[in-house]
Amino acid sequence: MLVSVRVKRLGLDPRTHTPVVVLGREDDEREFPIWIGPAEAASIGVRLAGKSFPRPLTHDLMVGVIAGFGGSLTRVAIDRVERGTIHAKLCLEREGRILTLDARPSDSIAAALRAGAEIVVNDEFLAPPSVELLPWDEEAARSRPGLEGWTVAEESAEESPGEAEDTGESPCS
Amino acid sequence: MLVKVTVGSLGLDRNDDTPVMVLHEEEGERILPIWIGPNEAGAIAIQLADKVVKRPMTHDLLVTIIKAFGGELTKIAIDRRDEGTYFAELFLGHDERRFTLDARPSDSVALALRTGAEILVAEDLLITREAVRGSRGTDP
Repeated sequence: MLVSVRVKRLGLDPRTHTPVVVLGREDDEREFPIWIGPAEAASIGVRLAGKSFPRPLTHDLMVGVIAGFGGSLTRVAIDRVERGTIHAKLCLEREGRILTLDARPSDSIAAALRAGAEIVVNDEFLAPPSVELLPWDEEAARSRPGLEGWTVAEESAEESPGEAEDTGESPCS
Repeated sequence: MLVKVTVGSLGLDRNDDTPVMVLHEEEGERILPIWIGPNEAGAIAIQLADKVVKRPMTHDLLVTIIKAFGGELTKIAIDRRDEGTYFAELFLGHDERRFTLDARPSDSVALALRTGAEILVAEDLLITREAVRGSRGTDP
């Protein structure tokens, strides 16, 4: 079952120095932490802090492209885990038609925050908090790795929430 | 006047490990070096190396969105510089609707490489290779 969540906070896993975005619900102590990459964390962090960067970031472009084509991002659904990697979907609407696109959770969340779109997750992914996180600090997290140190964020949960089947039904309607 | 360029190289400035993308004039010898962020450099490097990643990265997702709307990125233009920051425009659309978006050069190049769109630079921004040392401009 898909339930509405919000971004509770952005944290830093002190063991791996990796950013973690934590999703949760009001009046529910359960959370869903997702390990993400530094670029995506920075993009989410800027929005959470209510700040803006002087130039458009990649996720600002994303929302601009959607609007430019006359569409809107109505919802993002983080609904599936496959082999430890969390999968999400963007629900785009234009002229009454709905388009569903495969995406990473971090990109989905960064875009949703900018578009004011609902974020929903599979209820099975929420669990009592189990990992100690430091508050995410952009300076500390920015390690300037240069090209050699750059990696692609796999976007996983520490304890895999368990494979949730893709039932084939779109989470967008 | 806008001039066609290609991504000549992507490297690290030895002084402070900042990535720098160097655009080369297609029909000439002039260049435009732009200092960019490590994440944007990575997105460009991955495309240049023709690597496939398991999950769609942010720029891949952007391209997917453009195509899902039946549109295309026809070209990008890095057309001005203001106090050390370069500004670019994305030219997007489909038959019924064309529009431009203000963007950073790094995002613009990362997208253009993925779609085969033309990369253009305002001629007055290009410099000769000898002049590079004095002119550090950023993405930011």
